[in-house]
Amino acid sequence: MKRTRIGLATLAAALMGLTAGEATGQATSTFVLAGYGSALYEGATTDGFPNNFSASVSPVMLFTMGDDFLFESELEFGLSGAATTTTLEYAQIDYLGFERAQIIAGKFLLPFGVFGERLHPTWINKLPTGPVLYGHAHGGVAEAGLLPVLSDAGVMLRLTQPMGGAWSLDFSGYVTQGPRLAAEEAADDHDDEEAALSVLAAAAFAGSDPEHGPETIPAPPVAFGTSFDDNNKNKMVGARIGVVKGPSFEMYASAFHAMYDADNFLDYQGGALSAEWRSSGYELRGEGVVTRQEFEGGDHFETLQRSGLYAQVAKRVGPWEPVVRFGWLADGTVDDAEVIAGHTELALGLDYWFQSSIPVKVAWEFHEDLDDRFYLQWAFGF
Amino acid sequence: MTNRTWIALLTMAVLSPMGLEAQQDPAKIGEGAQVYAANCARCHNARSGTEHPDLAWVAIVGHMRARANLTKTQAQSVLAFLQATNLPPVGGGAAAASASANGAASPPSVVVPEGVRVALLGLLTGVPQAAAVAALEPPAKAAAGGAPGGK
Repeated sequence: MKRTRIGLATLAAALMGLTAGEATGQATSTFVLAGYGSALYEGATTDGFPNNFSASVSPVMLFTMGDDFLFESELEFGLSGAATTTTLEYAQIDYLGFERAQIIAGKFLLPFGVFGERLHPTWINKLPTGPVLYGHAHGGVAEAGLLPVLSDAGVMLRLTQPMGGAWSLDFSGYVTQGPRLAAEEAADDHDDEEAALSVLAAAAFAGSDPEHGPETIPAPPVAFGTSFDDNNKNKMVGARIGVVKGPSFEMYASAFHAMYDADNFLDYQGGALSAEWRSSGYELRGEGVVTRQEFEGGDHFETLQRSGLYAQVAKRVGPWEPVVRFGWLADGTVDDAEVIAGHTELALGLDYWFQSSIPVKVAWEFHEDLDDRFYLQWAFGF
Repeated sequence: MTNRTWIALLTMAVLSPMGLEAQQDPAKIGEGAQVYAANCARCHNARSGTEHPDLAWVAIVGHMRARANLTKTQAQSVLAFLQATNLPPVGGGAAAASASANGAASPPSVVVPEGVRVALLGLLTGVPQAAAVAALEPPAKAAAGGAPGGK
């Protein structure tokens, strides 16, 4: 017994010594490669929409220096024709030295609503596509919605104030380059494939309405964060404030304002309300968005107003998770006259979670006046 | 030495792979479990502490702090929790092999049975570990057991 105790004591001392050795050699900098990728099949119920296989990968690079500095960046790789497309989703420096505040500079996802900033990665999003509010594209221009996933260059301040229990008050405020005319951007850099794609995406969006051709949409498409060349001195200013009771409840209000033309005349404004609720395996979330875009209508300014919402409910049952999402875009109006037809979408999905970050998602989307679509996606968060 | 001394010594030995945070401030691990359960499920399924080496969690928690708007203290406690639960599964496994291959500050090759690990963690932190344990279980088990967020 005595020999056993001596052996155990030796083992204990060795293990503790090993840990202490690691401590003295603890690095002050760290590099981590994380991210996500997915494989997707999408098909339509008619011949008007192609059936495609596709894939994407979005590596996330994280560098820390000491406890207080973090550099993080995400690239998004895809294909367009024979070319590989690369999008800089974000590249930001975070100062984390304050107890309740963070300072962020660079190109970052804008805290407008919740989906774009936190939920759009394929291994997090419970359906293969994004809500109709945000379109299905990441290229800086909304492909079929009100806004793209917003990412822009500037500075941001984030604050949090714990309020007892699991409650906290969150605030994020930012100043960024802001939107500019997508066509203007493409003209500035006609060799830039991303900018060209943005314009094409905008044109596709306009043409997707069977009753309204591109020329009937009076306001020109704008691009967010697809170039570091600003076209004016105006900066986009925005903020999001919310209350959180993790993990069961969150509610946020978001807004931004910018001028998007070279002469600093034309306003672009957005507002959003977001809410999330979780209990007993159920998760219910929804967002509503309003945008107002001024444009020149002959000898005076007019305003295009658009709005929409989505609501999604999911219920985890073992490794399975059925999901239902309803999306609605109101008619786009100028002086209360309809200029863009509204649209509704219903998505029914079923996820199977192999692991906590590896789902297979099957979904069927029902679109008003458009093809219904089938999606099969395998996502991988790493 | 008394039996109590032996138990303390062996406990420290077994827990030593859990990282310095675990040894220095076990209460922080308990707080981290609660912050983890309350915030990570706001966006995504719970990720196990064994998915990455200890050092990798430093960067990942910083990345997540900005997304979840955590305070610095909360982020540090989540980091302590993830590192404390970052032990190789019984019998080793791919995660442990990967961590070792990366050459990062992965835990020494000590295999701790799940039950012992949970018991020791609960003993040290003095707080209910149900949420944390549920979060570390595979998805199917977690959901069946009413994991935080139910994801």
